[in-house]
Amino acid sequence: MTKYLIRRILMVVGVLWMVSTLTYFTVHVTPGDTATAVLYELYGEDAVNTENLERVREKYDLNESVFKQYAEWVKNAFTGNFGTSYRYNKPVSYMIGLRLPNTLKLGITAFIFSVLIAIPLGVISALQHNKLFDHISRIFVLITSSFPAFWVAIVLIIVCALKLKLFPVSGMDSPQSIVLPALTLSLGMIATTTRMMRASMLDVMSQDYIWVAKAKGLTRNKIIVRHILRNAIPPIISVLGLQIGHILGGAVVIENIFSWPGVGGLFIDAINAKDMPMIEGCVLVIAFGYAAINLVVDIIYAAINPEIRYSGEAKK
Amino acid sequence: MKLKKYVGFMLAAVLCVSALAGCSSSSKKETETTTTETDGKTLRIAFPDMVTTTDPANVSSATMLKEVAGVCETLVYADSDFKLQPMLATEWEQTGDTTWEFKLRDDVTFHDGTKFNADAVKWCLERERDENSAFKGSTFIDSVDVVDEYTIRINTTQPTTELPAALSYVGTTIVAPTSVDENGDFVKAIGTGYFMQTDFDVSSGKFVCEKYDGYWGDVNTSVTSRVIICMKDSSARSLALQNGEVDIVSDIPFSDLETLANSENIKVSKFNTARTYLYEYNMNKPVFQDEKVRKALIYAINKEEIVNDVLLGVGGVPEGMLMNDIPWANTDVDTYDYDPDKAVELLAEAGYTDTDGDGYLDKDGEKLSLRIITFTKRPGCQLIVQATQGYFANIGIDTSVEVMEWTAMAEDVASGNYDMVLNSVASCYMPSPTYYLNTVYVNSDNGYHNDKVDELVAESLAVSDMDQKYELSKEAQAVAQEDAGIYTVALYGAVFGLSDRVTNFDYNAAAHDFIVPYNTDLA
Amino acid sequence: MKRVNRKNIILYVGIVLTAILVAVAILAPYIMPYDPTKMEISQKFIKPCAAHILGTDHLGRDILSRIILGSRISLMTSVTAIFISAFIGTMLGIISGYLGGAVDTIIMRIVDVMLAFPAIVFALALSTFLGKGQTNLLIAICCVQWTRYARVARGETIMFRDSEYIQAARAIGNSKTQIIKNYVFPAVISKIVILISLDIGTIILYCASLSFLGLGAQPPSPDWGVMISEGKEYMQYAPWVAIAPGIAIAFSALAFNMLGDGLRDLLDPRMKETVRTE
Repeated sequence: MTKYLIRRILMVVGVLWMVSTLTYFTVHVTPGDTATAVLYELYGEDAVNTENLERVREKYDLNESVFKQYAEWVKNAFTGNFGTSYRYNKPVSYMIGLRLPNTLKLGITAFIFSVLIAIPLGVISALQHNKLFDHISRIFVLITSSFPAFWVAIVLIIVCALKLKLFPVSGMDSPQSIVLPALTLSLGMIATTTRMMRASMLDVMSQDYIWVAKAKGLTRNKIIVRHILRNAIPPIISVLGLQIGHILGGAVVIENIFSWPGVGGLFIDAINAKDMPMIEGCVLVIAFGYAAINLVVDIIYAAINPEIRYSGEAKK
Repeated sequence: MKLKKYVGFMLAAVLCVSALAGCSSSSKKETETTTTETDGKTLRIAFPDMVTTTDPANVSSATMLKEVAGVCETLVYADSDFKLQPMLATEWEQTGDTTWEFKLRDDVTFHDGTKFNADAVKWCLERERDENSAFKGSTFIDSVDVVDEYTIRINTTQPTTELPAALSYVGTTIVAPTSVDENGDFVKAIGTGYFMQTDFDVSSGKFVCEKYDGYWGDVNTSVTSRVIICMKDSSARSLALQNGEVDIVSDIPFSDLETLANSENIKVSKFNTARTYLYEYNMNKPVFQDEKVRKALIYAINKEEIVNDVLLGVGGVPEGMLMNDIPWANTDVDTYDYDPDKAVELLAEAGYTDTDGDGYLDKDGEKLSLRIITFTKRPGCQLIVQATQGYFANIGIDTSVEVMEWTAMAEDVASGNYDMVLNSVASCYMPSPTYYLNTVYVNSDNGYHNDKVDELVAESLAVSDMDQKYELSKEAQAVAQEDAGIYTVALYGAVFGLSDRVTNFDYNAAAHDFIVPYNTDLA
Repeated sequence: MKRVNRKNIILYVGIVLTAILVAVAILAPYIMPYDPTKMEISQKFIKPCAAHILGTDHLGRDILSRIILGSRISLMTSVTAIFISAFIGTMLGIISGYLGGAVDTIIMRIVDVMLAFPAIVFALALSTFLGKGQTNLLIAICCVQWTRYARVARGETIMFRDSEYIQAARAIGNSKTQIIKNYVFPAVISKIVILISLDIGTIILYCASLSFLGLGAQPPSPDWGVMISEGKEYMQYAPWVAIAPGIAIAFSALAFNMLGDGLRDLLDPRMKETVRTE
């Protein structure tokens, strides 16, 4: 187990390093001069002239070769210094520190929403296997996964916020403002979780020990809770882990529509402004979050399922 | 089955979570609202850009501080007739080719109680000169000398008669030397305005300011604090207004005008602004070196329909290159009004006819295909290029359009990878009769050049007599308009949505973005 | 008996919906009532009526015609993206699984890096870096998507590599290339086909999201994502402008999701739900 852990953690570090390197070089070879973008963003179009471009390049060491800049960045990153955002003129870590809690708040709420809807749906579908509820739930799930989230977001804003006046349209100034973005974000996850829960339940229900339990004369509720659920939940955990990854991805789009001040919005703005240190920071945070969640999920999974031996293989 | 029970449980659980998510911050929220209610009125304004700092060396920040929040002021102020008025400076005088003297008000204090004087102005302008990259090029300020406690001498890098106009530019807004810490890092905007900064959330860009009791002027309003909320998305701004989350919003989607005008508690105002939508031809391409082609393509565009039906009435049909209300605007020029027949005729004269019967014009066996580019930030741009594509299709020109980020557009223009570019430029960034001509025509980026225009602009810049200045500028406009290398296709319109509690809000076309006057009140 | 029936229903409905979609895309030029790019500004914002079944947009273009033509863009992009990425992914996966060793390690580490990032964010970042436009969008999606197929193909190949069947093939003197081509590939392909059919719906949504964010096709292209992003501005005044393309996206995603779901149940009941976990 310890060996496995060390291997996984080393892998996470390696992956982070590769992701950041890849980002650094792709941003550099893409069209759009960094100095022009910085000048336009900070001082308006009047500021874009040869003299100023030279000054900006000087100030942010943009005249150095890409490799040198990259080496400098890596060196600083190891000491915990991720640079200063061009656009905010504040340390990247400070800005991300401000925004990350908002993304987490949104992500966790969305996750809870999806679990609360999907798990019961999956359980009932399995129990009602091939009955009306099962069909309806299957179609419902197919439909929820077919609508584009950004479109649902727009419709929700118009209907729930504007017409029904139930929620604010954007921002996070009031407690209700989290409901619409979280709900939209959770839609994409409901489908997978429901299907997986249903499949897992059906799998367990066809096992011999359930027949044994039935034969012993246990009540239906007892069988469901003690035997079926207990055995059906663990395989779901790895799926849930991957779902959290989805939340991170979906948040980028959803935060934009609802003006939710999270890391997603910061990332998109940074890309548009070619704010290199900020792009790197956001990429690292998202990649780290994703990798860390997967690691934790795998550990939990391994812990509750001691018979499963990991060999570092991809999940089945 | 116990289906109902399950479903009921599910719903209950979802509601519980929403409630919990809410509770965490709800208690804090309520106390906040009650305090503002007892203290006075709060005016909430949506700002159409993301503010990332309160340092006035940053252009969005300076605009927000000076025009929208009312926290900072400039030495000179441009009124809605584009005339210069005293603000923090009381009078000024040109003392040499490159020197000016400004007398300052002696009764002003900064928000932290420190004195507003010549030393503070020198410090602030020189800091902005070093920190703001656009500063030198726009103002020509080289250095500032302290003459006495309330007099400064400004030395410019080149002879200019327009320094006072330059000192109304948002980038010259005055903050106290105490705005930075001992390391020179900017901490907080300590200005001289009626409102003073109390809070800035760098994460969401929300800015809060409160009334400053020691303000030097007379202000008549019951508003005691302003909250500025950054909202980049135009529909989000419109929705926030309709939902009662803000009191003043600018630049709302054109199509929401009717909805907003019909809804209770909201009024809508439309204004023409000094900003223009302008087309520039790539003058380095042979096709555009023919004046007939340049003019034909202007005749092909129905400017009136663009303003009335595409921009839905938000904006104006140009009568020259500048907005008619500007005192130095020359409206006595040919604007090449919509005439598709004439366009076809001119193109035929230039050699473009449909010889192979494919519906597209061609010359020497080559089809006339154009690529028009524009940028995303200004909402009207992508509508205008699409409409243009339609008009050009009507006379047999194959057109592709591309909408991109400003930086990408600037790069395509620099590398010559375009045929026409639709830009949008603030013509009264500072109320100077040469500013627009200078940035757009003299220092053009599309290869347009006319010695006569350059000469007239330089002359206008050199004379001090206002009437003469205006005349020279008008002459330059006439020459440039006749060349048709760059032309204004529409005037930019500003739309404001106001909650009906808002009173005394006035529009000033000389603003960089939009000004919310101190006297703006809430009923 | 009943069970089989139900599954078939989903499959049949999926087939019918997909067939409608494909037919619309192929016949687009013949069934469009109007020219989808023709602007008639005096005809703007007409509510759905007999002449314009889905109404017109802000430039007076017929929305139904635009949606019909847009189906081509949507289908072409997603199908092309998926086949390119499936091809690359399967090839690399088989090579990785069959050869093992250093090749395997390298390919799988690349896959790990790709998977260290939420797919949509990766595609978003890539297409921002590559620049706008439909081709770049396609490249971005392929870059992200191939990893799924590589993983599945590799897993299948490893399972299969040491089977007696392959050992026999080896014994009769087949070369590595021959084995991969004639024995491994056919065995792996059925899973890949199911995966493809399951993924098209997701890819349609990806494309739409990226176009909506302004990274794919550009106006005035009748791309559905672009149409929603344009129509968003008129949501209150003329909601039909944004609603119709949204439903078109949902319709096509649903068609492929049902097809994929049904196909999986039919071809490989044991595959269960696991492949959808990505």
